[in-house]
Amino acid sequence: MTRHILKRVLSAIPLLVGINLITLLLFFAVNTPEAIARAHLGNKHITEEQVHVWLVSHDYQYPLFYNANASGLGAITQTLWWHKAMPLFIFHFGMSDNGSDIDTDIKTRMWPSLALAIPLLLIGVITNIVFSMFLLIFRYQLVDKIGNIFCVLAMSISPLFYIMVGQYLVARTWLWLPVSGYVGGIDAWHFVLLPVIVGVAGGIGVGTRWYRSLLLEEVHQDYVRTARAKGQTEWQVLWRQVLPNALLPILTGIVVIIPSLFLGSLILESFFGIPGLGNYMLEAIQQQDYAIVRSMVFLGSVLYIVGLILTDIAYAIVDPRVRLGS
Amino acid sequence: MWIFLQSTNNQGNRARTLWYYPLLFSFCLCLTACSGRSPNDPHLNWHANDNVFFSSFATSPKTLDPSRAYNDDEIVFLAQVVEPPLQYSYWRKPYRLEPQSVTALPSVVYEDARHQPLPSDASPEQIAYSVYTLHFRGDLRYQPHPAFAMNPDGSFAKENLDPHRLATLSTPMQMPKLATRQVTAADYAYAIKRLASPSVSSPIYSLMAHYIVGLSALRQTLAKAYHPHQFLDLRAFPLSGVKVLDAQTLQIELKGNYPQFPYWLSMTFFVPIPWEVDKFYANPMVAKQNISFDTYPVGSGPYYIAENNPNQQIVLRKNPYYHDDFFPALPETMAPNLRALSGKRMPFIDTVVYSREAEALPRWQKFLQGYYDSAGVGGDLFNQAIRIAANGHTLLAPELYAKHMRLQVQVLPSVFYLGFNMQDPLVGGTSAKNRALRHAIGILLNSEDFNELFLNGQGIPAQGPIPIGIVGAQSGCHGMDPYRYRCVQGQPQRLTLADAKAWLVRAGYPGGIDPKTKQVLRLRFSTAMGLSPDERSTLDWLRQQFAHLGIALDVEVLQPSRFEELMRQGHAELFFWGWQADYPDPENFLMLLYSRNKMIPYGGENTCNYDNPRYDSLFKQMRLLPNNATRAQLIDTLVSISQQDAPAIWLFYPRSYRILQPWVGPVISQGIANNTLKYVSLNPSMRQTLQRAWNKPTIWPLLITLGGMILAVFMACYAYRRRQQKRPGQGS
Repeated sequence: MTRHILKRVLSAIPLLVGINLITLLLFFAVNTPEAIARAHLGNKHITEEQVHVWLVSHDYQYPLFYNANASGLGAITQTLWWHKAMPLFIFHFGMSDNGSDIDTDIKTRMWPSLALAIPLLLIGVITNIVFSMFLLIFRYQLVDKIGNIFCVLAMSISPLFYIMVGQYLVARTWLWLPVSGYVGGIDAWHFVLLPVIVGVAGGIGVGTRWYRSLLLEEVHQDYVRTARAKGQTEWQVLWRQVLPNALLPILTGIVVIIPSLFLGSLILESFFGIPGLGNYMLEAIQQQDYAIVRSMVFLGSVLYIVGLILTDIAYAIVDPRVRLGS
Repeated sequence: MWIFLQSTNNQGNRARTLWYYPLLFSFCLCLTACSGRSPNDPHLNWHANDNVFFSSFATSPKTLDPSRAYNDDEIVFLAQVVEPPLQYSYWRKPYRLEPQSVTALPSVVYEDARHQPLPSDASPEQIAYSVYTLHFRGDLRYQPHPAFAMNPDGSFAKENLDPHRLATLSTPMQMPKLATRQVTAADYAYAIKRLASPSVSSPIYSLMAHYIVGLSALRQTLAKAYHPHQFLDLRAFPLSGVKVLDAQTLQIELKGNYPQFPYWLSMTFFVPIPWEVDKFYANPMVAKQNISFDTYPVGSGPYYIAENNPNQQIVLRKNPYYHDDFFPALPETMAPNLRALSGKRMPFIDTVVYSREAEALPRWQKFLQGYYDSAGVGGDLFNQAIRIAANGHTLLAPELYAKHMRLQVQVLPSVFYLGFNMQDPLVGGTSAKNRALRHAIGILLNSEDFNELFLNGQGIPAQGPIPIGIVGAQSGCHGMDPYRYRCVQGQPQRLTLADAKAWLVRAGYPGGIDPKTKQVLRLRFSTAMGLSPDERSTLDWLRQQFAHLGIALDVEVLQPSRFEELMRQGHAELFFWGWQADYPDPENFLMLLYSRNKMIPYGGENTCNYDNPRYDSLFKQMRLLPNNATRAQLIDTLVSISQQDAPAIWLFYPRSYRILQPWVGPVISQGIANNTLKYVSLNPSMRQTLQRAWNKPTIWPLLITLGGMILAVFMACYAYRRRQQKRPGQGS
């Protein structure tokens, strides 16, 4: 297993280099360093000299990928890509274009993201599994069909609709919870509850359909028939036999997103005013802050790769037939 | 809570423990209910009856560094914390400067090229230097800050340098030793030097280097001395144009005559910067915690920044060392409730909490619930909040009026226009033919329709570059653009499409046909708009307007950075542009057409690249004069030239709308001053009463939801049991 993990980690390096190159290319395809400098300096009374000073003080004075004026290795090392992307591999995120420390920003902002993402994941998964098992009990009957129609309808509605309805009913009309905002510590539940409810409601259609299809594959297996023949009730069959055997694909879906929970939810955080990393990324894009964008894209890629490795490990733990590296 | 759970675990009674969790949850809910708060109260750390002002901000301030902050969303915080030498009078209109941290308005002495003093009525050509002398108040003290807690040898108190404490620092106020000191003239000198520092990148450096003697030379010196991440003690670098005469007196020497300089002295670029704080913030461990001038500026103003979490909230607290400052005496003509405040010590509010609200809808809903004391109105919310009366007056929506809310309307010192690139061969230049084309477009571009359709009537149709409220602005038929309007019964009335077509004939494009090519005349409009549905409909409307004259408008939608690049390269033909003034002087608007400010080649604010020697000559005369009849006449002439040559079609002057809750004390609308928070008062007990009345939760939907869930579970159990009881073969 160690060999397999090492192989996966090493294969991730060229992948991350490629991601960095693409991020840089895409970002500067629509935005020149001069435009970034002007966006930060403001558009009033700005001279070329001031733009140049800003570019030098923020290490943006180099060409993108190849420095024709430098000799030898300098042609590669004296480039924007080298200066901006390589420190990321030692997790040195540096300063944002606004002058704030990105490392500190991430550490501060990941907690609100987690406060929202963890309950959202747990409650979402449990709700979806329970609901899909409920439909499975009545499979191919009227309840199942109505449930499926409900799920398809729920899938078809935009997430923004759930947010607006949730805020309108729960926060504005019935006045149960704050419309938006955030406070750290134990009081965070005041602000996280509504986005969690909205998030769970918004994901119930997709989640239930997904888990139902996974569980349905198992229901027709021989061991399920045997369990029924032994006199187990349908509920017992589902919980004790079907669910553990369907865990493999369920784990694949869950474990891979666990590391990404740090990154938060772009839409929910923005609409509910939760100062997490999703919001951070969104603001960085709006403010054309390449330093934050590249750091967050890099971190997202690393976390996704970690998620995939964790999934492999989880496979090996849950299913003894799977042997990593063999 | 932890002890409670531990004790149950120790008892080992697992079944009993399981029951504690719902009980604990219920207990938490009861606590919330018993605290007297409504469950939707977002301000959990404060009470409604505290003397706290609640407001919001949509965009996080990029920087609060006084030498760099320039945007409105930055100045709104910074202006409460720092004190420039001058401020705008709270109540006088037109806007007028008055002393803030100085004892009197600065005196100015003009000098010739040999630094010999000139009489005050010397002609502008004689003036080689202007020397401003500022005498500061002796009672100015900085807010408490750890940087002022110093040992006699000039080093920082060692308690404030503890690495463990610094590593967990989130605000400078958490340091064990805080102190203050008196503000001196040297701090103002330090701030001016800081404008030239390469580590600061001040946006006004190039402008000030043009005027302040020695600033460019200082920049060169500092560039050589500067090393990243090292403290650059600016006290060691002299600036020839700035002299500290004594602890309270400063002299600033400018090149030539620049009568608008006092306006700059009312801006946050000229506030005192204590060197100790600059040094303290240069500590890498402090910078690592994102504590710097960008987040925690230090000043002697009425408030200091107690917490700066730009993602969540910014909290200002009353500066305990703020000097005596009393509400101004108001004339009899002003409202009695305002006059009742005269002579009272300011600021009135203890704490100000600005919460981050990126989205407009939640912000508005919280304001309606009483959780924000004021709210700006704009965009989609305008129709919910404002009604336009038949006579054109703006009124509050009835439901807001019934809640005794108040509306503040203010014309901003800004102008929005359609610009022509005067270097473009088709629409630019001073030929009669191209001028006629611009006049035709000026008539067909209906500001009134634009205002109604896309701005909800939030703008005022413009006649020239100078907005209402600024010296030189005219109303009615005076100052009317005669190339777009005619005077009917004392009011400007837009010329008709027939007039526009007549101008088009004079331009040589009858019916919009180019006689050379026999094709429809095609014009190119470049913009960074077009991403949102509203913007797309604006562009569609614009195409339709041009189609009325038979002109085809090619709309070029660009990324904002690409659009700015296009403008800087002078490749745009037609474009929208706006200008927000730095100070309320006509010079700050009329300079938009001064040839020395052309975008090509100077990169200046003259985006139309307009170049008219006569305009330049009159402008240079006008900007050096005080506000008198001669200046007024020159301003009128300059506006007339701009209307005649039409390098830009002046579309509208934006208005801002703000609604105040009934518990907010009387305030005066201010379009230019930013340090207005100190004048605001509150009635917290009224807020508490009304908040409670407005936020009684509706319980029945909760009961129905719970009942529905119980019923669904019951029905599911019932159906499941029935299914289980069926004999084999009866099921699926």
